[in-house]
Amino acid sequence: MRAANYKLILVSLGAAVLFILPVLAGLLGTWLPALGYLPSIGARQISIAPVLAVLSHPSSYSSIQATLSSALLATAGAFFISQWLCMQLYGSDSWSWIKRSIALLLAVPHLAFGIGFAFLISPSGWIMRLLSPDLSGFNVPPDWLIINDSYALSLTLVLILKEVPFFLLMSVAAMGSFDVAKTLQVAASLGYSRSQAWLKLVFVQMYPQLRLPLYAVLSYSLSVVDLSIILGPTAPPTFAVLINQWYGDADTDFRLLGAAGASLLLLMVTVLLGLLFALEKLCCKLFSKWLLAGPKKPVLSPVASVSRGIAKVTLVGLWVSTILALAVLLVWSFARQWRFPSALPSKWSLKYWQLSWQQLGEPLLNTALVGFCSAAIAVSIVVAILHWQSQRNSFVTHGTSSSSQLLLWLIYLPMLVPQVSFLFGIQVLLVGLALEGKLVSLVWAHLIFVLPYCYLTLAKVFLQFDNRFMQQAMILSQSRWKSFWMIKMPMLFTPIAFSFAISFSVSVSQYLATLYVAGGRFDTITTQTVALASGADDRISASFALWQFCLPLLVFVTAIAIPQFCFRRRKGL
Amino acid sequence: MTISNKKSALAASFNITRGLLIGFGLCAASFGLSAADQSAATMTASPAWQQTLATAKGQTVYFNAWGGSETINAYIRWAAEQVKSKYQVTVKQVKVTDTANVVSRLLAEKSAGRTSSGSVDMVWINGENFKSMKDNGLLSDPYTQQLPNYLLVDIENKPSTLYDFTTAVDNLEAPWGMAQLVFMYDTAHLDNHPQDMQSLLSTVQSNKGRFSYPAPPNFHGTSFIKQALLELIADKSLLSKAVVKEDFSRVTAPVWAYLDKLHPLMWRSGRSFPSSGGQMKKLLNNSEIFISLTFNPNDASNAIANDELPDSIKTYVHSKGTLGNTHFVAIPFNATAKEGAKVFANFLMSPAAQARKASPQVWGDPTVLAMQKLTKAQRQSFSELPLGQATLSAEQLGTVLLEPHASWVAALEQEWLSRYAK
Repeated sequence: MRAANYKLILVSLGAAVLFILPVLAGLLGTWLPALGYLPSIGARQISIAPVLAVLSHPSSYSSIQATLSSALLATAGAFFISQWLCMQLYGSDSWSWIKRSIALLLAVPHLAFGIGFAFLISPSGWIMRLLSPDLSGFNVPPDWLIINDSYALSLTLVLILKEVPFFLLMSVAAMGSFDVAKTLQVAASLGYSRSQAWLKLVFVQMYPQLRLPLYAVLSYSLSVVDLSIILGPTAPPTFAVLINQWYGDADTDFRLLGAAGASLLLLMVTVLLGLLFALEKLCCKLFSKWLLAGPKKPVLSPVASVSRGIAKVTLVGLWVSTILALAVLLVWSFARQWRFPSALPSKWSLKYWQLSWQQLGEPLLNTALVGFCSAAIAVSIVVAILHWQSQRNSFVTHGTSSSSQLLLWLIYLPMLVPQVSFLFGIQVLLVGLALEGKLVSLVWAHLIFVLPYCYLTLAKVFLQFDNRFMQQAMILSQSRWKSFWMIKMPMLFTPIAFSFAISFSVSVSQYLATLYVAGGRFDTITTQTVALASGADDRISASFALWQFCLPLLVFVTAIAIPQFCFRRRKGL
Repeated sequence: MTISNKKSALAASFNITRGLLIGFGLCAASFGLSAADQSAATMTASPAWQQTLATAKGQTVYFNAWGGSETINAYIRWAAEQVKSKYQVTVKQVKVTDTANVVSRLLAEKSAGRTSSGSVDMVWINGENFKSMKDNGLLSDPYTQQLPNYLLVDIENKPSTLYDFTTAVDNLEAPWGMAQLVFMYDTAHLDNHPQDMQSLLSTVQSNKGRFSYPAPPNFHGTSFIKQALLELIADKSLLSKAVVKEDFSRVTAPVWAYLDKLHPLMWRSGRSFPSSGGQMKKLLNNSEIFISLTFNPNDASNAIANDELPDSIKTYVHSKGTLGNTHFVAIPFNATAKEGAKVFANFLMSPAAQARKASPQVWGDPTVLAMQKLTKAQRQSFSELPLGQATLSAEQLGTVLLEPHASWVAALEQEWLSRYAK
């Protein structure tokens, strides 16, 4: 048994080395050029000139400003809305429906949603078309700055709409670790109002498990590129897009600027995460008295039912915006001519689906292949690590050991470090090893980003698995493997399949990682969608965006259907 | 200013000879129409080229080309099928969003010491990116002189085939197509089109918010700024030379004064800009803007045929001429399939491929070939091409203004960013 544990330790350490070292190497490969060292363009002078060049670049200041404001607003907004929805709707008739349907909302990729949403709300978008010309009086679209606004408000809104479901899912998972219903019941009997009970007793217990998703969303919002290209400000763009432009500038000296900008972005993310952590501590201090002060006068019930109503409306709004965004993509993909202010296309055509089908074969196959491989490997590694952890916990001591805590943060590292801040270095590294543009490196690069999400979706389930099942099985079968495969795996098959689907969809949505590592040899559906959206034939980019949505959806549906089918004769699975 | 008064080579004079000569290519060649024609034929058979063809067989060429236009992608697919069946060379288009990213990648490969089996075999390129590749030693040896069809290129009347944004081409890239800045306008909303930068301003004054251009460093946006530069500054001869830092703000002052007046009248009051020429087309289709710009004189006609634009769209050029240039294909220093890339480049310059490319129904990209260097049948394949409904004739396209020296681009972009994107 000890030997088996050591094997698992080795596996986990190996995984960490395989995924953490490259991130560090990538960071180093970015920091050196940031300090003026990039021999390929003849830059060998170590100096802070590139950093100064970034700071004095005319676009930097307002670009960073827009980035900061949109990321902070989006993260805070999405977090508060999601927690408020939980508080209002937990235990209501819509709660079980939320739990079941949240994955569907999550299955819509950011990019596809962003493109659809832009089709919806732009001044010549679907909403304005439906209102024009009769209601609005517009025969030509109004000159309103809605999409690509300089304050990045449209980008912020889309980020909020996409991150609320993510936080909801994470909250649902966090609620699984203690009995929320009972907590609320006891609290109510002690005279706590619903909102007090939630904040003082439920939220406080959930937060430790929401910390990481919160940090990840903040980092993502600060560094997102693809969505920002579609919806973000243009003159100047957000900082991550600006960095990407510098990396891609025809003047090669801009690589140094790109690297310096990427390092600055990382610094920004680090400082903000640090501040967030400090804020947590501060809140702990400030509110400790209040938390322990016991119940106060309950809020009157009519107000509560009003807020519950608003929460329901918000949730419906989330769904409606998603459905409409997909619907407008669908309409565009079948349009041949659709001019403002017609409510529907004046000419329809199947041409763009046929066209996209012709062009899609390869990218679709690549996406599926890379997604399948990275998801399968990620699930295997995560199951191995978690199984090891759960065994240790049950046999050694209870609670979380410091080594597994460290491992946890190492696994989550790629979620917190902005992609643009180390992918350039990884590209240099891969090119040096002649591994750029190989399928194996692409799968590996995706794996770096897939693994944390996979872990995040499975950790709870595994660590809560009642190990007495395993003990019982081992007594009966005398075989560790048999017990694992015949008892534990089938019992956990549903969450594992779900986690596979999440991993797959994370892989599908990788834009920068594919761009920097694939060497142009592997187009995925996502890189193609961004490329086409930049060319802006609405009809074809709509059909591509729909494909980007359909592929993960297919995997989600399969992941839900397979366990149901396999275990249709077995009770309780 | 070295403004060449060259007319587009799609000269109508060949129509006169049409019908007089019997349209057999072989006959025409034997009548001694052009020496170049014959030498092209001889070179096709030259041992060196035969050797290239033989080595190229079975190679796979990764052609890195901007992939934002489905019309162009379809043409590349067609060309790939042709070289596959004719020369057993497989061509795969790597669709890039920005050619500069390809330069980036090659640079990374060079810095890693990867001098062979690189990831890019051929790249669609011109201007700044070409200069950058040339300056950084990212190109393979000069090769276009080895290509039989290069002899048909109109280097005499199309100076931009030899000087790519004033950078000497030195046989490092093969001319593929011609481009000229052309404006599109919607006759449903505008009765008259502007004649120059000043009248563009007054048109926008009476149609507030209905014009824009992509934000530099986007290629179309930078081109618009260069066009303004060509029209507005006093001493145009400065533009053919490298930019002088000390004089820059004085020389370019009229341009910024003009843009300061134009921007508040533009789409979104100049606070946001379209991301690309493609997005401009979408805005034009939705009547968000009434005037747009393109670098392909056939763009509007294609888009109308494709229902991307309404048929009320027409095109125009400024009365004193507009910016023009050539786009090329180049082979990187570490290309894996150099021979295959040469075969493909040669095919792209062939009269058949060029005529198909020039067809408004296919792509509508003007040819780089010289009509007088072609056989009669080949010429006919060009002269018989229909003119798209919104396409200007060669005469109407008027004077082509040469691109300023490449160093102006960075200076203009920097200044633009510090004024309008801060």
